[in-house]
Amino acid sequence: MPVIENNAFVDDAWSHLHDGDSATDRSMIIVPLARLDEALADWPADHRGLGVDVPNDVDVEQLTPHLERLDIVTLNFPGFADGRAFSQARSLRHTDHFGGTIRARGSFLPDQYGFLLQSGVDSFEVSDRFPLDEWVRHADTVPATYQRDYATGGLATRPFAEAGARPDRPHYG
Amino acid sequence: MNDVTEDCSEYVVTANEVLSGDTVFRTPDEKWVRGIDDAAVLKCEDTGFVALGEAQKDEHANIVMGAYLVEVSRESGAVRPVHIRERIRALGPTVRADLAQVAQGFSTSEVVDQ
Amino acid sequence: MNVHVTPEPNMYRYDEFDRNFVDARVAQFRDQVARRLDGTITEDEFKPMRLMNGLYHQLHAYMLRVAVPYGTMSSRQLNVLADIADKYDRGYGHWTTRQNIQYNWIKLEETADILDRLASVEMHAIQTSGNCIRNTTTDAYAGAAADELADPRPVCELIRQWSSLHPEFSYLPRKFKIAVTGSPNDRAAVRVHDIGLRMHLNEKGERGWEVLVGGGQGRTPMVAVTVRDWLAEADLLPYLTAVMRVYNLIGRRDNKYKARIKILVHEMGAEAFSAAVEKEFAEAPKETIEVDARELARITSYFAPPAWESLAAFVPEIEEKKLADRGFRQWLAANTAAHKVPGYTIVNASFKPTGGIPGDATSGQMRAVAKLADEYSFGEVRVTHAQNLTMPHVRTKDLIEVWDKLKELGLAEANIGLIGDIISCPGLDYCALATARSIPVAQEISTRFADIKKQHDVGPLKLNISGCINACGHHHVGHIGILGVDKKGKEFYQITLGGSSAENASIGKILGPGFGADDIAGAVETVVDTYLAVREQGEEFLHTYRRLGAAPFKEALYAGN
Ligand code: HEM
Ligand code: SF4
Repeated sequence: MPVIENNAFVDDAWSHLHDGDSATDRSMIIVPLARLDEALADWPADHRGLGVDVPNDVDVEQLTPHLERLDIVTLNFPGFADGRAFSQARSLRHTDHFGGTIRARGSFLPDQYGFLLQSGVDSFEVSDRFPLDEWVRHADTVPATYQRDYATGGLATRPFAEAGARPDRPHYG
Repeated sequence: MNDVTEDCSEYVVTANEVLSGDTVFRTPDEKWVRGIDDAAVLKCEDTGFVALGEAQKDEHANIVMGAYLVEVSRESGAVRPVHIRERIRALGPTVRADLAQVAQGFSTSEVVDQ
Repeated sequence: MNVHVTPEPNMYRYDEFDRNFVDARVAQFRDQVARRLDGTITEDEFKPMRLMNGLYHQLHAYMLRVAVPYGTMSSRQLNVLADIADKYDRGYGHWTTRQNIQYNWIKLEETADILDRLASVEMHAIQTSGNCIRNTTTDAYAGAAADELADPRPVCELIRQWSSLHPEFSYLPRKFKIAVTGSPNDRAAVRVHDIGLRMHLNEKGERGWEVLVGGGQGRTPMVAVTVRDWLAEADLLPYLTAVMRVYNLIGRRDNKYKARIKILVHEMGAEAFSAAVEKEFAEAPKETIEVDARELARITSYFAPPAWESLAAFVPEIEEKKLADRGFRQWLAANTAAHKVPGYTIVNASFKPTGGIPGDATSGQMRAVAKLADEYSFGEVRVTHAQNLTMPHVRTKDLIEVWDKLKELGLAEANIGLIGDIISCPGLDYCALATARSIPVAQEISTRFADIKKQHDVGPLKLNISGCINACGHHHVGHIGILGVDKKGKEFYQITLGGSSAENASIGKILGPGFGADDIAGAVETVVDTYLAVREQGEEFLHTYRRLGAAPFKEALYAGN
């Protein structure tokens, strides 16, 4: 499946571990959450290239102790209206300061691209239903946000008012 | 195929126009109109479903949405939905006679009266 | 000669940032509509997008719900709402119980143009529907009421901005409604909201907020529970964020009827829920706190009180008129409320004429109220949760003039808070989800109680009607509630008694078997007559019900059956 990062298609270096495969000695591999402990136990502490795929009904707090050793976390959208992954991404980025890749998978829509970026997702596994442009332009269809600490890229945020300053009172156009 | 018996119900195909949102009915020549009086009346569900299948092509073409069959009966010659919800949908709000379909020039008969 | 000037009320005004934001949202919507029409996205995908911008599809046409943020608008904005009714609808709109206006006859192809027109006067339909944080509501008397601690609207505006296009909380399990009150007398129904905020003052006079979570109506009505007695104002947004995060992550999504936060609170238990929120609140970095204070100060400065005149509280003319004219006396008693500034009065325009459609307003009425507000209320108007309009700051000495003018407009029915002030949802006449009509029932009841003297004898009585179990007409919290159901293809109505959405909130109880469309108004009359027969001196309906329970009412309605 095509992957978008930094507003461009990229070669996907990651592969998912399938049932029955062994995680030992592999690299650039994403394991299901259920097999994370096994993979971590098998791998030397300094071995890189491990990721985990997390269902959207899981508390990502259980990843906190392992984030140091993970390079990618993939989050899931079983349907585009099921928005749990937005909060999972936000928790990983904002509460846990996870610095690796957060990838969205599943049936999210281009219209959600901007919100996903702002919530902390930086990699998108997409179908070929929409062209790249259709994704990229949605990064800033609304080029401003009230949520200063979610703002990404070139999104405008409101400059802070000087303490005690009288607000300007614009007139109706 | 079911036998077409006397007590088999009659149906019309209805939907809403995507652009306007208006309630529309399917005519015998496969157009959509706002007045139920001009709808094609289909005898028995089977015939109804065939017509509905045809009509749904216009859903894929984004002309209408949510097409379905409405059971109707004849009241003094006029075609009227059996259920109150569908009567109001076809004829307009009962509390604003001035806004009823008839007042808008789309239908010929009475406002819902049950 | 007076030249008609349009005063600019003190209320939040968009700066360039807000304006760009709303304009971009309109452009985004226009683009979504174009993609729906060219087939790029399906109706199933488009639906949540249009809902998040207030566009429903109802029984006859599209329906657009426009936000009146926390119920405050300028006369200029009200005039634009009237223009929209004329140009894009059929000359009227419907005030809702959550301080919005709904237009019933909207075309998809014109919706973006309407949004542009709204944006030109700093209005929008953002998040008036959909599974996101909805328009925040508050006391219609905010900034005016004698009994309020402080004006809650700056905090409402803060919440409006915080919740607008929130990247994390736009795809929630279900809709999410927040209500705020700055007065101990709750006119905002905060206990039947997903989150209710009640302002308190501590010994130092600092403002803090009691946070209530998990109220709601619909098919499982619940009264909210307090999860925090006191939250410092600076912590408000981080705390709300924590509540939202818990809800977004673990609120149920398997069943849409169990997806509201009330079910989560109920299933977890209030303590466990509250602990989860506190944990989230403690763990999340709070760099936003300081931001709030600056932001709140900026917003608050817009809500500076108007330039009050110093006026006598006692106006002899008014007192004389009260004695001389029963109609005026009744109107004053029911339709006005005490203002915090001497010499001013809060005036309601009743959109509940006898036999009329509760909450419907014609474009002409909108313009007329806008003009009155210009002349008498600093150009400021409010929408109430009972579907009326309020002029918050009328000089007491102008009351006779204002009364006369409202009478000419048919907006002076002296019934606010009485049985004629019926809350009703649109029901089956407009709503695709309805199981029965609600408007004709309201019309019939208000006609039977046309005698204003009788209404005043009966006293405070909230009668609320919904056309289906979704309870948009607040029937669960009506002192008398009526719920329309479908029984074998016929309209049927259930009566509940004892509900309240005020500070003493409770959910009404079903009285017994329902009534047919022809009998429901008579049954309500029987309930009221029974109350009149058994009440104690000065006792309101709700108190009589709470004292005696359902028995006397059941007896009167069902005995002999
Ligand atoms: C005509 C189109 C409308 C539709 C399709 C609609 C739909 C709904 C639904 C499905 C619910 C139940 C939500 C739940 O239980 O989770 C609901 C609740 C509610 N609606 Fe409406 N509604 C409409 C109009 C209105 C109007 C006109 C008002 C105000 C007069 C209104 C105010 C409310 C309120 C106050 C609630 C209950 C509060 C709560 O969410 O718990 N709605 N609506
Ligand atoms: S209560 Fe039911 S009938 Fe009334 S507006 Fe809500 S969904 Fe429609």
